[in-house]
Amino acid sequence: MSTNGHDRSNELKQGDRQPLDDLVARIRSLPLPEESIERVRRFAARLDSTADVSTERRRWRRAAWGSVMAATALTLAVAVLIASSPKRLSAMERMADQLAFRRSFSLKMVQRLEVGTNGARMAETVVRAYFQPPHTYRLETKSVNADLVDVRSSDRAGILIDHQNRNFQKVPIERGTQGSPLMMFENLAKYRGKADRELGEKQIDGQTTQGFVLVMAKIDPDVKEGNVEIWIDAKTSLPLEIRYRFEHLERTVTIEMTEFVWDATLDPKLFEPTPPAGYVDFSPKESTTEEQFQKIREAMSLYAELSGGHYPKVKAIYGDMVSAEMRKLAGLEKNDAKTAHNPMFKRIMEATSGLAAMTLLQRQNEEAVYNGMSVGPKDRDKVLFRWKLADGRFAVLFGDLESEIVDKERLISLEKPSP
Amino acid sequence: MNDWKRVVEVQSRPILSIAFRILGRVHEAEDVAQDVFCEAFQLQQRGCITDLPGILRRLATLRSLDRLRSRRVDVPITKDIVGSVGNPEDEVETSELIERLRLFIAELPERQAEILTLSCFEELSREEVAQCLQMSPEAVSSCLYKARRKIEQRLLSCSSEVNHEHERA
Repeated sequence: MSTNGHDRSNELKQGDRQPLDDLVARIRSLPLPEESIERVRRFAARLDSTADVSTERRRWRRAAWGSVMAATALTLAVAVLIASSPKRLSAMERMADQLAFRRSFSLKMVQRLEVGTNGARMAETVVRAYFQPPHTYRLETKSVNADLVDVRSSDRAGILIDHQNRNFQKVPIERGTQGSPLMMFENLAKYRGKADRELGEKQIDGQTTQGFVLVMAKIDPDVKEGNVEIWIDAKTSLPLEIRYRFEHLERTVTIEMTEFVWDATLDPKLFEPTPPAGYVDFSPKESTTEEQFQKIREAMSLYAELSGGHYPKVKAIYGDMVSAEMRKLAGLEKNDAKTAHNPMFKRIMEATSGLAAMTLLQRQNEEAVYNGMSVGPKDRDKVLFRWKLADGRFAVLFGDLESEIVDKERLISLEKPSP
Repeated sequence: MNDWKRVVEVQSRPILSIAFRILGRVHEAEDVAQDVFCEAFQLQQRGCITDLPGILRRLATLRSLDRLRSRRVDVPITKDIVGSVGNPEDEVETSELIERLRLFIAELPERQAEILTLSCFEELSREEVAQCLQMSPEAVSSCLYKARRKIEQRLLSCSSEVNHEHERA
C-alpha cells in the first residue's frame, strides 16, 4: 500500500499500524468464489435486455436465496418471505441516493429574520449559491445593507468582495473538514435514516413533488434547532424546494431554497478569486498563534464558567450557535437595552471572536480537531483543540487551557489513548 | 458487446470483491452486488452517470457499509489481537478479529468508512479515492488519517481490555 494517504498515516502512526494492516491483508487475501462472480455477471448483463429491472432483481434474489436455503427449510421460508417483498424506497431515501451523485448545482436562498410573536419582518437577505465539486462555491448575497460575493475553495485561495464598500478580503484555502453553508446537501446525501414526517404530494410550478420533514439535528448534530422541510421532484427525486425554520434569540429565522439547477454547467469565471479593479484590499492582518490561543482560551473559559464546568459538547464549533447558547446559559436571551448593558453580555460578545477563530480554523485547517465532547477543564494532559501550523508543527490547547506548540511525535503521544 | 455489457464484464469481479471484503459473507455480497448493478443501471438510463465504474465502486462501498451497519454483531473479545493475527494455526481467532474490525468500520462516520475501505481494502490511491468521492485529495488524507486513528485506537483499547481480562483470569 503506497498511496499518499497511507504515507501520511505512516508518518503519524508509526508503530501502531501493524494490527490494522495485518487484518486488512487477511481480508484482502480471502478467496472470492468464481461461481459468485459468474452469477453477478450473468445477472447484471441481463439488465440491459430486461423491461423491468425491479422484477428481474426480485426473480434473481429468489433464485440466489433458493440455492442457499436448500440446507434449512425454516430459513428458506423466512428468506423467501423477505425476498418477495419489493423494496420501496421512501422519498427521503430516494433523494439521498440522488444527491450522492450530483456534480454541481446552483440555487436561490432567501433568509428572513422575524422578530416577536406577530412575525414583524426585520430583514431579508437573498443569496445566489453556486457549488462545484469537490468543494468550491460562490455565494452572492444581497440585502438592504449588503452586496457581497464570497468565493471559497478547497484547492485555492478564495475572496470576499464587498461591492457596496468597494473593498475585498483574501480568504485562505478551505482545507478543513467542517463544511460550507452548503454542507447541508453533503449531509443529506449521507443521511440513511427516515423522515420525521411525510407531507404527501403537491404541485410546484406544474411539477409533482413529494414532501417530508426532518429534524435538522439529525443531519447536522451540531445544529440543535429547527426542522427542515424538503419537497423533491417526484421524477428525479432531487430537491425543488427546501425550507428551514428555527427560533434564535427571540427571532425566527426562515431559510428558503428554491430555483435549484442540478448538474449545472457553471462558468469557471464564477469561481475566480479576482478582485474588481479599483477595490481596496481589506484583508485582515493574520493573528499570531499566541493571539489565537488567547482568544480561544477566553471563549472556552467563559463557556465553562457559564455551563458549570464543561466545554461545548459538540463535534464542531459554530461560533453563532455557541454564542447563542452562552447567552441562554447566562439568561440573556432578550434583545433589549438591559441585555446590551449587562457586563456578562459584553464578555460573551468578546468571546465570540475566539469562537469565530475556532470555526475558521476548522474550515481552513485540515488538521484542526476539537475534542470538547470528551475533554473538560480538569483534563490538563488532554488535547481540547489543536491545529497545524505553517511550519508543520501543531498548536495545542489542553483541557486546562494551557497551550503548547508541539511536533508530530509529541502530538501522537499526547493523543494516544490512555491505558 | 455494448457499453453496459463491457462494464459488467470488467466490473463484476471488483464490485463483488468490494462487497465481500466489507461484509465477509459471500451470499450477502452477491446480493449487494446485484442491487448495485440494478441501481447503477437505472441511474445510467436516467442519464445521471458520467463515470460508471466510479459510481459502481462507490455504490458497492456505500451499500455494503449500509448492510454492515444493519447487522447486530457482538463479537466477544477473547484473545490478544496482535498475537493472533498472522498465526495460521488460529483461523477462528483471526476470523473473530476480522469481524470485530468490520464492526469498528461500521461505527465510523460514513465518509471515513468509505475512504478507509476504498483505500485499505481496494488499495485505491488518494487521488483515486478523491475522484470517486468527489472530494479533494487533502480532505481524503485528513479523513483517512482520522479513520485509521479511530480504528487503531479501538484495536488498542481492545488489546488493553483483553490483557486486563487475562490479568484478572
